[in-house]
Amino acid sequence: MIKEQKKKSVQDFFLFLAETIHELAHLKSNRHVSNLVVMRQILFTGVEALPLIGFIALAIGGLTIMQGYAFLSNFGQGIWVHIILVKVVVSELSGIITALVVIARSGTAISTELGNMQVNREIKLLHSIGISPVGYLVVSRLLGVMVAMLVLTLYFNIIAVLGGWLFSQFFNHLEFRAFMNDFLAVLTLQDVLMSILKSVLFGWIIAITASYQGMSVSQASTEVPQRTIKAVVNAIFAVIISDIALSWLFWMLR
Amino acid sequence: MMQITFEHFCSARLNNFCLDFTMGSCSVVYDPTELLSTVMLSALVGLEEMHSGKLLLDGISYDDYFADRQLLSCFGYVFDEGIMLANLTFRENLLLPWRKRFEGESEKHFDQELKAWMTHLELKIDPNLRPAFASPTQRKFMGFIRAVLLKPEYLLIDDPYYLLNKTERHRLFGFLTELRQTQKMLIGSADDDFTGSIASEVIDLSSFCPA
Repeated sequence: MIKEQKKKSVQDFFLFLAETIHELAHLKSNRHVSNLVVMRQILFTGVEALPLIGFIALAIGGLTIMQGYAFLSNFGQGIWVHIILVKVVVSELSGIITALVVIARSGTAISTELGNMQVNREIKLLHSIGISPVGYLVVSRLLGVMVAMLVLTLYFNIIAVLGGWLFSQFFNHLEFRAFMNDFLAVLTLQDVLMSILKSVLFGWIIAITASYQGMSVSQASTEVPQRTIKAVVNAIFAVIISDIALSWLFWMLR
Repeated sequence: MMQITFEHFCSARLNNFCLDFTMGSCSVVYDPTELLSTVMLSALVGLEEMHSGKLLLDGISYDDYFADRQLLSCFGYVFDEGIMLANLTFRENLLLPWRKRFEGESEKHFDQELKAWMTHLELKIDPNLRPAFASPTQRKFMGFIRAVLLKPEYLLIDDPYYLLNKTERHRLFGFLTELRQTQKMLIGSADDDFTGSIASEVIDLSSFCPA
């Protein structure tokens, strides 16, 4: 009489994705219930991650300048160290490192929370009161993580540039205005666009992957950590692959 | 009175289930196994994913029936456990479906009704607490209040005595006896004493054996 639970397939993921997009398109109809969750998600993913992101950004910016200056000054090209800061940090590292931090903090949290909600039948409760769990829980988290990723990546870039300037003081005294002039001279609109686009896309990927794995927990609490591990691994893979694809696309368009 | 038909109903938990009955003012599905009644009640609020077969309400397929009706206005579901969203307070938990059901109505009205029901059920807890700070019994009673606040046409109650001690069962029995004067109910129960005392109609599944 009792059947076994069927395994999740790739098709299930795309059905989940389609449902999420559908709910996102009909955001207005359940807006009153989603705002609170969006704000809480921005607070957790964005605001609470600021110190960690700030620390990493400062170190990355400083170390990039330090290594770049040490290397380029051998050829008398120390002035070009700002190009490294733009190309390596703004275009590549800021998005990837912020994404890894968000996966570690928020991806795991989302997957665990939704998994536990499945086990505690809270998802069934939402169904029983006519509220779509995807609309109420997933879309809210998706928006929250995307906004938080965008803000964190911009924050990373700013702190990394400041860190770069701070570290450059050790090698040659450079005025902040002069440093920024050099930096802005090599920074293109394309670099900024790529950074923004990547952060939003990574936010989408992290939230969707973590939510899907969390919602895929069926009944047992032992499934929750397994699904969380899957969420982390899949999100890292997806973020890196999409990073390569986007960088290649921008390189082709150049 | 609503006619409910399960025609070769097949879900993750049940294979080929057939049953046809009319819901009365207080129908009790007597099921000592508790599985069939739980599946039946949860299927009525769309919690049981139907793999094949049919579920008809008044001869109309489930999806068509709710194409132009709100689920909340038709069925209010009370789980066997007092399930609540852990990250919301009791008040927020109860307000969430209420806002959806009565869009545009003042929250003052909600608070008055909530207070009245809590007094009626002798519940002495702060509605601004999170469910984790209350006992399972208090959560269960709050689950009853959540359903009745929505004023559905039918209240679906799964195993009302689950988690309750003798005194609390007595209190709940008094509440349900009073409630059935004004509210149509479909209750799933494994308790024959309760079934005999409260039911206007009994759907006896004790000797029922699905294929």
